[in-house]
Amino acid sequence: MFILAKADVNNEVVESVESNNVNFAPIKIGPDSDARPL
Amino acid sequence: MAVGTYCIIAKADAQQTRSRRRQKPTTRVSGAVRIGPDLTVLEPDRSLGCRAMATTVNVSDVTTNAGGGDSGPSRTAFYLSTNLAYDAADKPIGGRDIGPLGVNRPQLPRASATTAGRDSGWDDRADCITSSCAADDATARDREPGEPTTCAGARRSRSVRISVVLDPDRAVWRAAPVGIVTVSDTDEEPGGRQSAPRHHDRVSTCRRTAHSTPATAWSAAGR
Repeated sequence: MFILAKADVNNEVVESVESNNVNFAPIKIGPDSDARPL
Repeated sequence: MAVGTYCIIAKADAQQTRSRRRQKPTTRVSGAVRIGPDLTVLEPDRSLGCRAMATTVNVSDVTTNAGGGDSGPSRTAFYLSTNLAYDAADKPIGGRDIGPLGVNRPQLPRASATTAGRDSGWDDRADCITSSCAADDATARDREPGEPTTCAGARRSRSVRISVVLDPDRAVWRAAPVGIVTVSDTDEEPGGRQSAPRHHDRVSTCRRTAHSTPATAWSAAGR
């Protein structure tokens, strides 16, 4: 699972580059998501 | 350069060092190029700690204006996604408002996001295995204020910071719905202290990801 962070989500700003607004970080979701793979 | 829309012109023989038959057709014009703000998010970070379903995870991000002009207010949002690309199916989990940003000016405040609950459709597993841990009295200590209870099954006033790590192989589980299922797990001590050598793990069957009193008897107990 990933957390995506998206800048200018409402498209309020007219940007020079509109396609690079998203970045991400991995995250684990589960019964206890501090999990290490077994 | 002032903010605005420009064309890029390529001009051949700009210094007119060549004498040519036709001097005029030496320029070509590209499509419009916009000089202005360009909001980007650097790699978001999330805090360590309890990240179980329906709990809060702290996410920090740095939203930067990497463009050539000032930007007005905007909003950066967080989503849960199964892949690295944003699409409409991604679940919004929070966000924060970003004020005006000058050129190359970042905005760094933290924001908080809540992971999707079990009813959000992210976890549609009908069966799962959860694990609970219960510490011997000798290993228990008072939970510190604000400290997440990482041991979900400890139903006592005191708990220890033993994080039970259990990610069972679903295929194995499906293949053997009746009988003995061998499950292994890894315990972590995220608190910086070594946990007591003796503690007790239990493995139970349930129909939800969150531990609760099992509807069935413990299918296996302990080590």
